[in-house]
Amino acid sequence: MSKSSRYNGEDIWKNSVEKINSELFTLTYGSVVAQLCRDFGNNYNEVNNQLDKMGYNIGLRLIEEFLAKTGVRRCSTFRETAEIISKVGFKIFLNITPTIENWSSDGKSCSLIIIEPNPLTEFVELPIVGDPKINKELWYSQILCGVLRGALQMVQLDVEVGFVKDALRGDDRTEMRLKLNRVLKDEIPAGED
Amino acid sequence: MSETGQPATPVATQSPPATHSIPSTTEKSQGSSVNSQVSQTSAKSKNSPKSQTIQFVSFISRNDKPLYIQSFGLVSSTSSESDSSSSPSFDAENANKFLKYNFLSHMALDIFSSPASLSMREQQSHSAEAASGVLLLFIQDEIAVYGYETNNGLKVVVGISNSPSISESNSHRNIKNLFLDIQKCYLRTICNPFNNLGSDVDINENETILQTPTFDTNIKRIVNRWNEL
Repeated sequence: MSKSSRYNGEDIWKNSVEKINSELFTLTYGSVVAQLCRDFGNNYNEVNNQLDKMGYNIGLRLIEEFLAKTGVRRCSTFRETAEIISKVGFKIFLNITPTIENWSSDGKSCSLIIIEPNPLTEFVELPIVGDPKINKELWYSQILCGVLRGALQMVQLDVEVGFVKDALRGDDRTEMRLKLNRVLKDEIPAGED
Repeated sequence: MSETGQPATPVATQSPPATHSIPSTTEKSQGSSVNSQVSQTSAKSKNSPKSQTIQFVSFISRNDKPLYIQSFGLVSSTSSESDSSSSPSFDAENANKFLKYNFLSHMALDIFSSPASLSMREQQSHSAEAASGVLLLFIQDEIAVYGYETNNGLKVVVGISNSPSISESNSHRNIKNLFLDIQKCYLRTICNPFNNLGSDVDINENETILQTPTFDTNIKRIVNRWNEL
């Protein structure tokens, strides 16, 4: 299964994905983050929240495109889900393949390690001199967490995603923690019984 | 401290204020160049066959505003005989050198805009020379000053200590690569989204944008790598 999904990811990336200039992407994302920081007056927790919300909205729609391009069928275990995310999902949208490590004993949470170079952070340096707390509070790539949360919610998985380490902060690597809370049953909309 | 200008042994601090010892051996054998890359700790100026070291790098904006200058090879008191106050003669020497490099950068500006060099550059662009764009501006005080103007008008000036044996096309290509590396380094720093630019300051004129320690270390790394070639 793992081999075939990796092959799929590479194949789809090569053939049926429209690409844009990576520097344009990096600079655009950088401007977004920088502008958010200015707008919120350096309240980085709020910036993180906003990035997460933006990512969430993106994820809700991104999952449709993902399913359309890949035709991946329902995963039976969360492990499979994580593998598909890293080998196919990240691959076809960002052309990176994070590695998965640190599975918890119940198989419900794992770490995604984003290998350098991270396309979102190509030229970025956090301005520690200007504002030291940025190093402790801002998660630069927070939008990715939101994307995962939104996308997985649309396939009935309620997850929590957050950053644990970030190379921009000086850590040795960039690590996200992905945790499955529960599988959502299709709920009847409120108001109907 | 960049190794290139530092004297190899404490004794050598008494040597004449040439920033490095130009060895009498300037053979460019391939064998010795391999050795000099392997033995990192040995003094570069002794073993490297090229014996050209970069003395300074400076950036000037399109409106002739100086943006940045970093000099290398400043003599420093060696760590083995360190005293808390470095002797005043060293400081004066470093200050003089730094001033000299500033002056050389300013002189370079005159050459950039002089009609003679403009016509020279036009000539170069006609002859499909690989080293188009890089000009040897002038040689002064044993330092050969090269200049390169980017498409945006940014001028990069590099001073290289003169070596008696410069083979034309080979060193031209190397110098062209050096300028490209420096330009790439500049671009990386410019593209940092957290630059905190005021909206009214043109990015090409902003004087503080390059004054970051990361930029310093990156330029130093490029220089050291080039010196080892």
